Amino acid sequence: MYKKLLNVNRRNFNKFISLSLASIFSFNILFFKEIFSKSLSKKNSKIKWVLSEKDI
Amino acid sequence: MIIKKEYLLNKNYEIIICGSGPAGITLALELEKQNISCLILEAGDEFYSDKAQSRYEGEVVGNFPNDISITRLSQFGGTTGHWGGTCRPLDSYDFKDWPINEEDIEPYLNKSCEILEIPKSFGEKNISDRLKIIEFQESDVRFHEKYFEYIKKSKLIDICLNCSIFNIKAKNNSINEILLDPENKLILKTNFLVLACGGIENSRLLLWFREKNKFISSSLPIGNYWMEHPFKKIGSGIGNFNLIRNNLKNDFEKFENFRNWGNFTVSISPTKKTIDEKNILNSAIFLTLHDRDNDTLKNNIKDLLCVAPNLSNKIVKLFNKNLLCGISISSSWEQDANINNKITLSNSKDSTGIPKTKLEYYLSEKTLKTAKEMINEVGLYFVDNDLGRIGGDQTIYDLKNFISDAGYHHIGGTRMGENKYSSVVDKNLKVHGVENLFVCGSSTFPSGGHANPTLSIIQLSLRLANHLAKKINIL
Repeated sequence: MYKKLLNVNRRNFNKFISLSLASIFSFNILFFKEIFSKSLSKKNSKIKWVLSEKDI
Repeated sequence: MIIKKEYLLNKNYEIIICGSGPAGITLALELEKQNISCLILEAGDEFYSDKAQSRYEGEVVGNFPNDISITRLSQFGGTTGHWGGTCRPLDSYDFKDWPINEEDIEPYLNKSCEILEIPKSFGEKNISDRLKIIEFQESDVRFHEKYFEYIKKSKLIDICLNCSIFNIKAKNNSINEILLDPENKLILKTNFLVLACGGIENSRLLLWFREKNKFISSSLPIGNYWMEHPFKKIGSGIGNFNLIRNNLKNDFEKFENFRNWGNFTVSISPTKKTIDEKNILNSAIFLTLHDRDNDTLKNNIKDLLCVAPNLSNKIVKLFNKNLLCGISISSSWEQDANINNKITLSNSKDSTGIPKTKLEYYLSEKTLKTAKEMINEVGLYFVDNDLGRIGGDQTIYDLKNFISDAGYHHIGGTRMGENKYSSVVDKNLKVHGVENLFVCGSSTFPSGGHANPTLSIIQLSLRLANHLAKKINIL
């Protein structure tokens, strides 16, 4: 019985981990998709950034 | 004690103070301690009334953002009835154009902090030789709550509510009569008159008195050099939350969640070296860090990647480590004293028959340059220490269309100085050319620094009380 329970827990844990990784991954994709979907152009910038030469 | 207007007829007071805001009440209480009696004339009631407040209506020309009838309160306690309570003394270099130094009002700082019930702790920490973190204090004192009952019972302080001054009469350049109505029915006698009606009313009343009397010199720049503290969100950024926190760490507890603006707020000010080198005005930058689910962050990443594609890897890494945060940057800064920023008398009159205020207000290149240079200074600090990247909002690069909010800090108009062509009152706050007429409040500041003015107003009031007490004791 104990082993059975352990197996169930392990299965649930694996399922949980894979779901979590998937959600984190998809969240990041969604987050950055919106950012990268628009063409990156200096004209779109609403802020005058203070940058180093390496940034550009 | 409270005295009704009709009982004032032909009364004689050593000192009459117009206005029961922080300047007037502090002055009256300090005089009382020195056993000197006075009368306070308060145009408003004990609490807010539309009738009294309507006298604050006026005309505004230029790019002043506020309605001048709502930025102050006509009631006992004055504008402390709705003030934010933020306090900090002026920096020593703010006194550059003043006829007095920081040392002249520093002895009154302890007592001023006691009145405002704040610790005398205004720390500073240099983060470079160009920038410093500064500490503010927050006061919860409302002068009505703290002092009304006390003054009601005072034997040396009389207060007349709903009573405004209409005119003054003088003999040999010395005021001897105060007229409370246009019909000259209610006349009071006094040895000293102090105007402590606030940063707009002091100018308006003096302009009106000059229109009615020849003994106030036409050369005095009454109403001129009027200033505010521009207050606006001027920039944004993104950064490494932990790095910023550690780098800008300080002992000033107030900065933890200051005013609930965000997760972490820090106030940064230029050092004297930066002010001199860049030829800018004094300033405070409020840098607030936001959670990663805040819209600011997403928008700022979008914007930054438009101009700095090489930062994309770094941004993704920080984001995955949950360390990326959005930054919003607000600022409250000094405005330069400009003779053309002025209070004059409008063509329409208030309910007492005195012309209403007309305010002409413009922001200068130097004022806007200060905001731009400060963004640049803080931005370079972020780059050098790799804390993140910040930038200025496009609005601060367009003087013509720039409209800032304001701190409701009304400064200048009756500025202090030795020259009667460029100032209205002398270093003891006495109006040039009139023996016993004084002005107290931020209207006497020749420059405003960036600090909220109430603490300095109270320091000046205590100093004036000492000066008047000495004069009375000599007489």
